Amino acid sequence: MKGILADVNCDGHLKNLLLVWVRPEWHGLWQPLQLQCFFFEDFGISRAAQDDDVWRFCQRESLVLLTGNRNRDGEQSLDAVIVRETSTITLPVFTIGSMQRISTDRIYLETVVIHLLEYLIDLKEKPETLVGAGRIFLPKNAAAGN
Amino acid sequence: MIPEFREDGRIFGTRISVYDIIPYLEGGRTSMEDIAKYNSLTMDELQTGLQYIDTYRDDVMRINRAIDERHARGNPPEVQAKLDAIHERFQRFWTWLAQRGYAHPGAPGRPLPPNSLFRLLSEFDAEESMSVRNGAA
Repeated sequence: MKGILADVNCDGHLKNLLLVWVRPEWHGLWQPLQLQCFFFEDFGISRAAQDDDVWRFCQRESLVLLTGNRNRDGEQSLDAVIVRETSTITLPVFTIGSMQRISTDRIYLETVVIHLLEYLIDLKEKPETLVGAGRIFLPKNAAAGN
Repeated sequence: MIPEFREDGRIFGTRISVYDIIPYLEGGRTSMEDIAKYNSLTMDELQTGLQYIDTYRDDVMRINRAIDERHARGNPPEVQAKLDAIHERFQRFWTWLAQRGYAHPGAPGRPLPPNSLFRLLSEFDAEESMSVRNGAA
């Protein structure tokens, strides 16, 4: 795993998470992961790209996708490509349960920050646990934020 | 011009759908400028989305409810069990770090020495294993 790719509507959200991870009390947990944060423009990915193309790009480049994807089910949807093509070596996709609460609810933001960091550390340390997991919703219960 | 109804609700020329916008509208705490900014939309594109929602409100809200229900189901039980196990391990690890005066999420303290995370995790695991063995003996 080389890094995290922010979906086109997750740019600001990933930047918000990163602002927390680089704080002094978090830095020692974030820095050893040696993960880079990427945005669509870094790779020239079209903002009209289909979900399945984005997912395949992430797998090819060894990136986990951070998304708030709420697309309707369909042949090219994220859910469809995950069901069709997830294997024991594919990296998961992290889906933020409530995109708007990241910007308006500090407790929700911190919950997402902690859970995602724990999963990223685990992916670096013991990749076999979460590779092949498909889509992972953050946090556990989006409605309650816990 | 009113866009034609499409099940995927995508705003033309983007991968953003009206279903991405609706939670912000329902939350009621985000300005139109910020909704556009967060979703990498121009104000014109956002207006197109809002018009689409207005025109096809019943269908859009029916589909949106289905997406909400799918999201509310969250992770499959076997994945959630793994995530719970990871989270519980780290909860214990954060406490272990705090007992040694180190900073950890949400708590001040000494910063972790550079690149010490995985070594500390190994020490933590070894101590946990030893205390389990001692407890069993």
